[in-house]
Amino acid sequence: MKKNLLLLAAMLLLAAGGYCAYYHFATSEMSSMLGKSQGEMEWLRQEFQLTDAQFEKIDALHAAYRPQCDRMCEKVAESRIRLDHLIDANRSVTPEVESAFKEYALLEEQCRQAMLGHIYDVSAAMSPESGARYVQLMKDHILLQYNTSHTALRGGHSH
Amino acid sequence: MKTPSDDLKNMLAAWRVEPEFRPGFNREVWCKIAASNAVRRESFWQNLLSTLFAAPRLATVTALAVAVLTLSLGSAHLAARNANARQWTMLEERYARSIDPLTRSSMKE
Repeated sequence: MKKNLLLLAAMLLLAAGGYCAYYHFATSEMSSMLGKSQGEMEWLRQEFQLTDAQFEKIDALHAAYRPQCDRMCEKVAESRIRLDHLIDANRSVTPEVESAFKEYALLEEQCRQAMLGHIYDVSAAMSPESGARYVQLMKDHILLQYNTSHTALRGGHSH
Repeated sequence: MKTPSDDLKNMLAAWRVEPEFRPGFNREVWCKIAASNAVRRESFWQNLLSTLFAAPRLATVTALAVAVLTLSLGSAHLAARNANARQWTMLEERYARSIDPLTRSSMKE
């Protein structure tokens, strides 16, 4: 009886040890990529099998785009806060609320256009096949975001 | 004066051995070495297997250990594949967010 229990414990230990060792070994590379601050760029490099020259070019494009993206992000956040305050402060659609809505929508369009421009620039730095696949993948993200924001603006109802 | 040991020395100095090997001697030797190595390797695995499966209890334990290890490694492989796919998608989303001012502004609030 004692021997059987000992055997069962040894089997469980063997199973757990094998599982943990294999799992750790098989996921360590991905976990380390996810932990890195520039992990998403490494994802881009591997997903689209970029050469060093292509990656350097795309990295430079990203570095140039980032400040523009940051400025837009600030503007959108400010506009959203303003709109939020105005909606709380009013009980009807005043010209001020209307103008805040227009400003917010305009900023959204500008952001999408800037992002799409950047996506086209990045895709041009890749091979034609990879570039087309990259645009397709990013298009899905943009459209998903667009649908989400419009659904949110409509109060969560999809028509 | 010449001594018998000088004669012996001279004879030894003049002695040349020229062995004659029959044709294919080298090949035969290498064949024998290879055959003996193969027998040794074979006997190692045979010994191991016969030791493991000699006693019925030991055989059962060994079979059980192999089955448990196969199951645990198989399930670890599946779990790792799923985790890697999930993390790959997370990296893709992180990249998309990094170039999208709208998503970044929502996260700021």
